[in-house]
Amino acid sequence: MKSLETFPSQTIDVRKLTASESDESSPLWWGNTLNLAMETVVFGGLIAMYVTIVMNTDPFPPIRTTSGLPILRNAAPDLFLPTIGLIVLLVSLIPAIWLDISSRRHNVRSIKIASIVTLGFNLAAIIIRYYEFDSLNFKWDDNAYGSILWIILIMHLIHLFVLMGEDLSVILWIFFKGVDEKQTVDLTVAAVYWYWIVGMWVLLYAIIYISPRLM
Amino acid sequence: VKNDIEKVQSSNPTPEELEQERRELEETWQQPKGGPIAWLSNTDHKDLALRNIVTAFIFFALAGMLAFVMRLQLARPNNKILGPDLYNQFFTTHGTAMMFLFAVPVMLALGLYLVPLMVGTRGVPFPRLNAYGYYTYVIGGLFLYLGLILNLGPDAGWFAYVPLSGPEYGVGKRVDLWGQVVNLSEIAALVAAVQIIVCVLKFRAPGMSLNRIPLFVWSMVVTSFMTVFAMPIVMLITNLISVDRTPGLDTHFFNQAEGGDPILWQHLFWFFGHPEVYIIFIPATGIVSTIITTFSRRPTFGYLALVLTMIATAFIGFGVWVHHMFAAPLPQLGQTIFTASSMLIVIPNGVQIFCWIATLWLGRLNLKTPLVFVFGFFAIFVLGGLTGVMLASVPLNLQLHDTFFVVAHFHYVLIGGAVFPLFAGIYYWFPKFTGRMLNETAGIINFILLFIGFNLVFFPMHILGLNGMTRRIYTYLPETGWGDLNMLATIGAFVMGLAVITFVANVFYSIKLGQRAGDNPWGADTLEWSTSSPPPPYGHEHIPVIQGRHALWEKTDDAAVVTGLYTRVRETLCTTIHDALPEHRFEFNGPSLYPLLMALITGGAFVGLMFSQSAQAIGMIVSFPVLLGWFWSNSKEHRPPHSPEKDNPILEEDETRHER
Repeated sequence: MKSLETFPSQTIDVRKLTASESDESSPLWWGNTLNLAMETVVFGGLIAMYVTIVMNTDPFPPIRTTSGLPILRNAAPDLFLPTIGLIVLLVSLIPAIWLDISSRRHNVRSIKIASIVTLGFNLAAIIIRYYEFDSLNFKWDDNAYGSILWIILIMHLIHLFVLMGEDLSVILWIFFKGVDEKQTVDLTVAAVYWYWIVGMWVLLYAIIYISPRLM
Repeated sequence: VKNDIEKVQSSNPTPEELEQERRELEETWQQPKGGPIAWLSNTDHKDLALRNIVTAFIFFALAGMLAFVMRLQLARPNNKILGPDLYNQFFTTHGTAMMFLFAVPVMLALGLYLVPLMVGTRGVPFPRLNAYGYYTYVIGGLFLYLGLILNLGPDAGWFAYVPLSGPEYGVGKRVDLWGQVVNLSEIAALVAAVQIIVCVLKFRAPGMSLNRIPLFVWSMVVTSFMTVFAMPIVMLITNLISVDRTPGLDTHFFNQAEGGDPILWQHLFWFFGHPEVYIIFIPATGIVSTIITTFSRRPTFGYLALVLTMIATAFIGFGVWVHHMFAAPLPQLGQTIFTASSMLIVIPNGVQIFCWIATLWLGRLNLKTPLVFVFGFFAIFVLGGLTGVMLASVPLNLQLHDTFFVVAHFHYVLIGGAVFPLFAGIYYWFPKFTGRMLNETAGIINFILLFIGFNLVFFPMHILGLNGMTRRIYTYLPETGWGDLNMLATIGAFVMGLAVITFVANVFYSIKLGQRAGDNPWGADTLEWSTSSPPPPYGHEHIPVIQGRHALWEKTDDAAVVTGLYTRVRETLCTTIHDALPEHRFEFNGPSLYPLLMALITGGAFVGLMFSQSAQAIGMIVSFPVLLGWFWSNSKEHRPPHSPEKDNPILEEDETRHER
């Protein structure tokens, strides 16, 4: 224990500093950002694998000769449903940004509405993704190309599930216990996660669905 | 700092007030006591890190015993102690355990213990997540050794190349077990990395701007960033190989016949695997810098150069992975580029060594056990580095690929580059961990035995490799003429065993009977030495204000401290990223059993994945309610300090105190 003599004559008094935090001042924001860095590395690895496998596949896009299905000469993935999925994700940015802003402003009514709408979009994206697997024209065990397409879709789908779980847990709290500052920070951080999910999907959509048509 | 932060006149607390404050801190930060449940819900970063270090040393000892049995098998030609199958399991388990269960976890654990103390804060940012990481690591480790006992020990080498590890040749569940052990231990590594990065970015004491961060802390930050960018790749591929292997799924990621690619496995594995080497080595450089500074009793020579070399090593470390694959059919130009980049890494490492020599040269040496171990590191690591330069050349590499020369090289680099500094670090920080010094005489004996034993084991391997002895063979014929050198290596293994026994005996003796250490027995400069030994649960009683790069050496008598943190909740100060100016107060979560529960679910799901992919879905569903409980219990504790300022009990109470 310090004695009276050695206690410094000057101190930095922090009692007036707030306990509130947002974005990069918040440890949680950094934790989330680093988590997203890891997940980006995972998708980087998957994209590297995709490129290698495409280079190994000749002709590309491959010919589908799966038994029981009609032969497909140029089996690039179908565009219709995946494009709807992409649009849904892009439109979902509107309620996500709204939720982000209302969390920063601590506007409880907006938070409640926006969080439900965002959750709805999240659910819609999951349902569309479920049917989207048919658009790939290959099953996971047909060839390595089919395998990599499936795993990319599944990995992204897992993120949709994880964020839904995260949002659900915050929403349950908000509706049962009310909104305090910790929840608003959670929501702004979850919004960053949602932006990342959408942004990553734009890139993956271009690679999976557009790039085979450019070759 | 002086100009940026508003200092106030100290309220000159009376000894009674200070005592009261200390008592409140003690109560607030106390971990639950009594009974296994209390023990398991502990979230103190120091307690968990110590458990982590002890666990890592147990896994180290077990993996060392496996190595010892392998040495016995190889001592004579045609030996019959281990059959080929068991030998395969032994060397794979040895490599996997040493890399994933010892070297990386023990370094990160050292960081988890020391970084918060060194940056002058009270804990890691996510204490519960920290506990979760530790438990997944323990589960992964137990799982590996349990597999070996159940004849499920992985047997495809620690890098599990396909097709040997693929569905065609890697029959049974052995490779699946390897994959899940890797996954579990890497979760722990990633958790630790995030803790350390966020702790250093946000929790540094006021005044500790980026150019005043201790070198050990820098090394941990660099390592943690490397972990974040390297580890996810190995988790990805271990999962993909397990899907390839699962009957009924039969994907073709690494199956040549269906457009997959076995070389892709090698690329992705070593894209992780080579940075892994630096993830082990860079913390060691941090330990070496710290010890050399303390025992030279002068400021570090070339602080900026040392920081930059660490960062440079990290970047280059991500660009050299192909030098592990020179025997694979790759374009010649590519091989040449990777030869060049591999040789490039000599530059930062050379600069580091010269900075250390300069520090020693200009200092007044205090020749104690930690410094002696650092000298051992110099000798052995430089030798390992030199064979590394040799192996970077493609033609020689092709000749020596998969021989004992490579085994000798990487043991020189890893034991010289990481285990010697680690021992140095344990001798150095043991007084802080326990309050007692390790015995010096035993320390020197430990060093001599380890140094001689190590060189006896591994130096002959260079010659054996040049003579054509390939690695991973369980026996050889007398006609090869390899018998004598192998016998010499096995004798060396005995000596190394003695060294480890000396160390363990020293620890057990000193923990009870060692000389009392006091706060700062070595006269060191970093902040962890300003706390008592062992440190109280709250770390620093008052968060210090940093006045220079060598915090304790440059501290003036009237150095200010931070006051006004609430003592009734676990609170610390968040500062800005560059200049470490006070920003806001931050509250930690308390002890909880949820992390253990969640780790058990993770472990269960990963073990389940060996048998069915549905384990992942089930795991996700089961974890939801547990995570909900975890988050909700967080939120409850967070309530008071996070409520709006006007009805914040803390401020009100303070104002009434002022009025009085």
